[in-house]
Amino acid sequence: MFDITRDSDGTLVLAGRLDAAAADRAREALRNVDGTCLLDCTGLDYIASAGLGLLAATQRRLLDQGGELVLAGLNPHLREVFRLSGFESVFRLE
Amino acid sequence: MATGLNPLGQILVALVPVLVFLAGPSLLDARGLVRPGRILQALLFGGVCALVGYVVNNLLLGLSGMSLLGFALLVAPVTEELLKALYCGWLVQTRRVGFLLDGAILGFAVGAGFALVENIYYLENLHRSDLLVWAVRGLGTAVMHGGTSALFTVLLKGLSPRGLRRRHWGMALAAAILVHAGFNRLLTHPVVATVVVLLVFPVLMVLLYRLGEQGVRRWLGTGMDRDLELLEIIDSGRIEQSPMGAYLKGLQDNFKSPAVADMLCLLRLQAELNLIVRGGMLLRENGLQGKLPPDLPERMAEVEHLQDALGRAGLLVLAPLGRWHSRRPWQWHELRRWLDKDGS
Repeated sequence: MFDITRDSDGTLVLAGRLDAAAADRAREALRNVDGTCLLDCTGLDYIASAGLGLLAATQRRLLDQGGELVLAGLNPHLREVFRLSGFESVFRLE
Repeated sequence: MATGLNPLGQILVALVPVLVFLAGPSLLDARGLVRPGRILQALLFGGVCALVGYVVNNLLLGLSGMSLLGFALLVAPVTEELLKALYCGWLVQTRRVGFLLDGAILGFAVGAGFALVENIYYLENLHRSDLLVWAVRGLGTAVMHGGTSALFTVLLKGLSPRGLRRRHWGMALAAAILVHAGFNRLLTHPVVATVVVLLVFPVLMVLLYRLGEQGVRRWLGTGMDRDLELLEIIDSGRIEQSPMGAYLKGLQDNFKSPAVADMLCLLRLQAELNLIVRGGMLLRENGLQGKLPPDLPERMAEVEHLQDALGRAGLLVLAPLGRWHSRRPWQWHELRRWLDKDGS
């Protein structure tokens, strides 16, 4: 089960499992993002390759526009995944 | 058709198409599967093969007393493809090629190097200077040499997911020789040869590229997901409820507890190393460059230590859980290369 919602301040709130089945929904939400955007990942339990690829592609697009994705609230397991995969160094983690 | 070409025109028609055909797939390699130094090495080896092939062919032609056409059909394809196969085969045998895609690029580079040197020889010795001759010699031969070496490398890699056998070499080599001999047969009809080469080989290269791309995508997608799931299961403490936990528990009857613990550590470490390689490629695919974990050398050393400690029997029982074995040597080359690059 995956959920993505937008707060009143523009923060995207991710919850559940961002796997291949959920990637289309996340892609739709991230497509409309521009500038610098905060992703609240406090409720995110799991991320699959499709989710990582989507985040990388979005980050590339936003960096080209002078913005970026900022990820907040990653749980220790996901933080380790980001560290190992090298994603930690291309995203701002809060 | 006798469109005269000046020496510069001859050089351009003879050499430039080879490099253009080589640059195409290399530019599409967004993930950096093949480093430029390796392509240069393959080009150089191909060039050396052409020189050796020239000497060997001349020797064999003299000894055999065959006609030039007969020699071009029956002997030259064998010697030339054998020579090029030495390097391509070494790449596959030592797992320096991880996928069909990098195999196709490096194989083509070997053939391109061969054709470059061969064309320089023909520039010196072929006195007819019309466009058709150079189109066949320059472009046709180069594409053929690149195509047959790419075909050989891709076949050898594709046929041997669990290790090379003699029959794999035989089959891949036979395919390359047959295509080469077929092209040489057409050289008596230069127009047909050029048309066939320009129609068939680019299609063949596109097919090889697509096939290779699918393999890399599968490896990045489902392979990475398997590693992520494994790490999640271990991190969440749910390992005992998982099929992997049940399998490891079953091993305690035959292995001492420390050995089973080592197996779990190895599974985790290997999944982590897989994630480092796959994550790096995923980032590069999107034009981003990630940093390697600073403790990567220690992790690699630990994997080697655990593998030594577990021995062949321990690794064999782990095989159903970790399907990294076929690409492990390639991953090792990649990680070392990245570490060297990071340190330089």
